[in-house]
Amino acid sequence: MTEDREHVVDELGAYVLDALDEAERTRVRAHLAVCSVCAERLADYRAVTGTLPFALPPVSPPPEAWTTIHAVVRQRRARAWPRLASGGRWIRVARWSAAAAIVAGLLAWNIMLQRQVWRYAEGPQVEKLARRPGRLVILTGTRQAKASARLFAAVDGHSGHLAVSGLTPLPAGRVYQLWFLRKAAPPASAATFTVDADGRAWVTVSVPGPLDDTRAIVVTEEPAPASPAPTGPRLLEAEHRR
Amino acid sequence: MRERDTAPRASLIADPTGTPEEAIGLRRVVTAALAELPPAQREAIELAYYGGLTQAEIARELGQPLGTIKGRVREAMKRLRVLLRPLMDFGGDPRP
Repeated sequence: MTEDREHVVDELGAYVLDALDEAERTRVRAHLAVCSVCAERLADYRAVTGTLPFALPPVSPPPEAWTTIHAVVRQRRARAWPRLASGGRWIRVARWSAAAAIVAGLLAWNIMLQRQVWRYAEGPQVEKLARRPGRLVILTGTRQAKASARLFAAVDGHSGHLAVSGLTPLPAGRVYQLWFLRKAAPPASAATFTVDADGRAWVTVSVPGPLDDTRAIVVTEEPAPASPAPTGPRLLEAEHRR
Repeated sequence: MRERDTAPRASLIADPTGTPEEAIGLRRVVTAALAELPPAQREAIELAYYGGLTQAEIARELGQPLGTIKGRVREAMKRLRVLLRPLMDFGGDPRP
């Protein structure tokens, strides 16, 4: 198989990871539509990404999951019994097949759940970003005891991520807004976001200026889509101590 | 080289009909494959796949040139393709 410059083989790995920007993705997609060589290689890379969730550590399902599983097993058993009553061996086979399917299903469920969890506050990004020479700022809840957030400002000083947990989901028309309260400038909005049903969010942040020129970073509740200046009480905050 | 199916055993994820033993074996193999990558390449894959970042976003996060990140992702995926080939040749059901 040849890999000349017109092919997109070098981009296929990033393509299946969904890590290309829009222009690159469009170019690769257009090429794949007319190139069987790259399309065949694409299948290989899709297979690779298909295995990646298996590297995630399993998590324990909540107790209610077991209740549901037991109910499903009882239903299956009740349905299978009339058909299988004449053959004990087949009953055992059916039970073991059902058990295997349940365990495999649980594992898959764990994998999917873990992938979701990792996108939030306890994710690998957080741990890895925290080890980098960027800046980490911990915001603590002022009104909701379990609310907290971690802001990771990248080394370029302009971008970052905010991992939020423990905030109450908002009604329609309301958003949370992240503010940088600067020492010698008006408050600057860095992001607006909502949280999921579990109170979590993972937000890309536009850092408005050097953290050393910031006296506090706070989150307030504001009317959607955003406020020009903070109007609500502080829900999360971090004060600059130096 | 025989023709391979387009979907590996990882189709277990979307269609959990494989056995627990298969799933456990997959986990071991994939974890080992990722561990064989150089740390910088593994980090790029983790941020792209598990973190959902684009290569440009990874470059910004790490403070590295975009070309460097592209190279890491490219080489990591090439390496994983080789390391995980046994899984893909394992006789998964043909799928569209």
